[in-house]
Amino acid sequence: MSRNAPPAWIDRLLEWYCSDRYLEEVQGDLHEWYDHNSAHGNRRVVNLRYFIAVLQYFSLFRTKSFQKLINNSNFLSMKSVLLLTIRNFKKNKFTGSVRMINLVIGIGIFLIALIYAKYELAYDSHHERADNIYRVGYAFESKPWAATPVGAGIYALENIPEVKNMTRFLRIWDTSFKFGERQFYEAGGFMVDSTVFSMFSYPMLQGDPKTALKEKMSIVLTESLARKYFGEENPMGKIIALSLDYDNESGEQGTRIVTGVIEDIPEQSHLKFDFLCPAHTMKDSRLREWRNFWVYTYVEVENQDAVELTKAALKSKFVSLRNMDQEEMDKMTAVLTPLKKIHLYSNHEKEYADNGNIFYVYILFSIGLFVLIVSSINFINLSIIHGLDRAKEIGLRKTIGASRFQLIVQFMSENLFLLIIASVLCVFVLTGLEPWILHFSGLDLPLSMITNPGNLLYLGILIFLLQVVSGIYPALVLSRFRPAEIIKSGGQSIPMKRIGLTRKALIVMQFAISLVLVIGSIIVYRQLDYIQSKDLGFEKDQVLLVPLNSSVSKSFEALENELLTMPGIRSISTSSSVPGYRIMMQGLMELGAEEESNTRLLFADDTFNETYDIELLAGRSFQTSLPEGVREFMLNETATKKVFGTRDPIGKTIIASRDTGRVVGIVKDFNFKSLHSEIDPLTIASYHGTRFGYASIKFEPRYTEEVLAAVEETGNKVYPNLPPLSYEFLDDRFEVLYLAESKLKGLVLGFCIITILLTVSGILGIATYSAKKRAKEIAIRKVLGGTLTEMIGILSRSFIYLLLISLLIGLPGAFFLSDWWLQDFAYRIAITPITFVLSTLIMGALILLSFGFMTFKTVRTNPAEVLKSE
Amino acid sequence: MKGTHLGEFEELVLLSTAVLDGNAYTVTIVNEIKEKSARQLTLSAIHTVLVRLEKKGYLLSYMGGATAERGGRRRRLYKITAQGYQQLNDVRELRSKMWAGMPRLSFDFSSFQLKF
Repeated sequence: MSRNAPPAWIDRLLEWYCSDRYLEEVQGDLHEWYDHNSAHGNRRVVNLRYFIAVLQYFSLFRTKSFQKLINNSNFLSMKSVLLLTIRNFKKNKFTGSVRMINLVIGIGIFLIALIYAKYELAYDSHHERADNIYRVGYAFESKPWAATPVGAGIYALENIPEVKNMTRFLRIWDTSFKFGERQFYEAGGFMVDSTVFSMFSYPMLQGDPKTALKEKMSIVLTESLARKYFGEENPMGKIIALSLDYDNESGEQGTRIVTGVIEDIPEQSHLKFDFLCPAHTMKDSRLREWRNFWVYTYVEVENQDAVELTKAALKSKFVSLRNMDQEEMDKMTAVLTPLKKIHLYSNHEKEYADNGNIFYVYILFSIGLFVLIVSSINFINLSIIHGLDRAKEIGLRKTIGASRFQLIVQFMSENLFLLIIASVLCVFVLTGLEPWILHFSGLDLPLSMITNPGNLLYLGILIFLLQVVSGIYPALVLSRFRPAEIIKSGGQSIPMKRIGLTRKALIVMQFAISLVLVIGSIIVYRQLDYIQSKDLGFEKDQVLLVPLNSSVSKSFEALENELLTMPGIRSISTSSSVPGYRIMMQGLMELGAEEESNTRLLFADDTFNETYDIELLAGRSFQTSLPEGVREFMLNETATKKVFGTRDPIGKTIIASRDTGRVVGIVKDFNFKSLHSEIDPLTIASYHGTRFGYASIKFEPRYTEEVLAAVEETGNKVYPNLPPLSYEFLDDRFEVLYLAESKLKGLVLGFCIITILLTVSGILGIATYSAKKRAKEIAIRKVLGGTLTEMIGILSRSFIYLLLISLLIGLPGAFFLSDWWLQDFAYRIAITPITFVLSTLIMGALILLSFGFMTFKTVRTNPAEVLKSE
Repeated sequence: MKGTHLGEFEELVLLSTAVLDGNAYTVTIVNEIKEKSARQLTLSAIHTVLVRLEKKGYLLSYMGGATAERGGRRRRLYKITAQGYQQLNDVRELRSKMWAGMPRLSFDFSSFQLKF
């Protein structure tokens, strides 16, 4: 009988996927079916239906790889490990949860620290050419400046062949913007060279990066600023009325045409702004001046080798311009700061923003690492303790033929399984923590794994490392048990004679790290608290600042007179700058002296001392109405010492900033910068003419509301055509200066509490273990009449020794680390023994309490229960 | 372990196996069901159910003889076990119990239709 055989290629497909277990019957059935159907019907249709039938047979359980998998012994053991882990967790929920929490905290804190470090280190890396961009500055007497004279950039571009590209950022101060009804002051603007878009990566949403800043009347806005004025309308080509101080001296409103919209500047940028105008509105000769240091200049070079050449060229240009002699020349250098390092490594003079600090990154990262180590040690200890409960299981497994290797594999797999569960929990916890961390520390860290899948990579690496570190040791220890001993004692006796050296070392290390963390956290917290609350030497809590631009200062007299009649306003002072903001550096010398000294120079009126409650040590304050052309000076203590040494300066004539006048008073040193730095020499000069800088209004706190209302109202009355006056509380400004510290303080406090919790859970684990190990001993002692206190003493004695050893490591470690960190501060707390004693006592108390608790539990059990098995 | 519940399709395949008595394999079962209920089933679907029923212990299988039309390949024949027979019985009993309790309803569908 002839039969119709189906096409061979379809058969081969079936043979390719189908496992041998089913192949014969399935193929036979299919062939029978084909033979039957092909007798009647179109050959092609039958073939097609046959093909479909073969495809329909494709199912997981019939495939070769699946059959291979389920017959694989690893898969079988994996399945049983999973089951065992779950059962063990159910049986011992407390230890299980503590282990899990330890892991979640350790992994979580470390990941947060890692992500924080990465976040801080990634500043400005969104610029494609960031690696070849440097910010130019000069350093005098090893004091580097962030800014340069305006001419430096164009000189570098035209005369140094290594410099490929250059952009200057010229700061624009408060400028009033007006479009239709909307009128505000905008502070964050720069005039820039048109090269800005070819050098930096500021993605342009509208407009052409090549031509946006070509026209003199053009302006480029960020997306959010554009929305502020134009809402949903298309901003391109719209005309904004604005007063640019550099446009015209009169401060009249000029107009600008919007020629581009860029994306908002990313958070991770050291230079943030809202709008850009072309710099070439200024005369070319002004753009080549080498006078004040006020321009941020960025150059792009070919490669790293060009940096030194560029520095040398910039230095020699400056030296020849100023006719410097050899000594002066040695003291100054040109500085090129890599763009990516500006945020963390540069805290130069005239820095645009309050940059971060690499020290804080180190601190947080090491805390994260320490917490991870402590929690891993806890986890290892708890794993061993947990394993002891399973002595019977291990004994039985060995008896029925499990090799040591198989047991190690089993424990390692259980460990891995726990790690993976903990990591999954971590993913949820971190995602949930993101808004909280933002709330408490002000850090918008990209913690969520969903929006930042890159974090999963770290998590994976971390799981691998933890598996190696925390999996191997317990597996080795637990697989060493001798089955005969375990089974003989009915699983009661713990087959380990004493705690091995490794575990002792781990415990000492854990104690020491916990001590360092607790002490370190207390010291960091106290130091940060100290600089935030230390008396600065002037009044900062009751002063309202009103920035004065050229249009406001024109009729400021009227505003001042009106405000002074209001209740609650005690005095108003105007000055070129105020404490908390930068005060310019100027050369100063005594008449007839040869050498100039640099001091900070502040122009202020006669009410300045009164407004800021600055103490006068000698002489007097400025006269209320000085005749035209007469200048008076006050020096602070530091400046007096620097310029006059021990001589009395009062009545001496000095020259500062091309003005000559007499010193009339000495003021007590006050901290006009933040407490990060020491007090600089300061010269306060009386001034005439146009008012500029800031008006400081001293008010009585109980009238705060009224004063604010009065400033707004009077402002609108005196300046009907200007946007409402902007103002700021001085203490808010100082908060901003300590923002980095505030952020760090919150995180450190949180980490400290977590460390203590971890330590407690670790000690509890060890206590449980030793109470269990010596359950029989305790029972016998109880029978013989031992008291609870005695037994706690006996149990905790060896751990007190361990604590003492860890003190020998931890206390000096904590001291040196804190001392090293505190060196960074000009004003720092003393490291007092009380912190150390207190932390040690806390640790000791925790150990005794945990031991007491566990011993109490053990002692309370009936001795017969423990002893009956022997 | 897997539940002992018997789905409608499983019940149908189990019944056919019992009916075919010794000559039950995928192809004959497809034909049997097609003959009785006019349901056109695929070979793979029947095969899957047979494997599952064997796992549940309702069927036994053994390799039968080969034929030319099968290209010399043996077929896997299925036989119902006592447990499978019991299960079929249980299902039938449950159904007849339920049927016994059925009230004599006059299914006047026209009244429903009026409503809608």
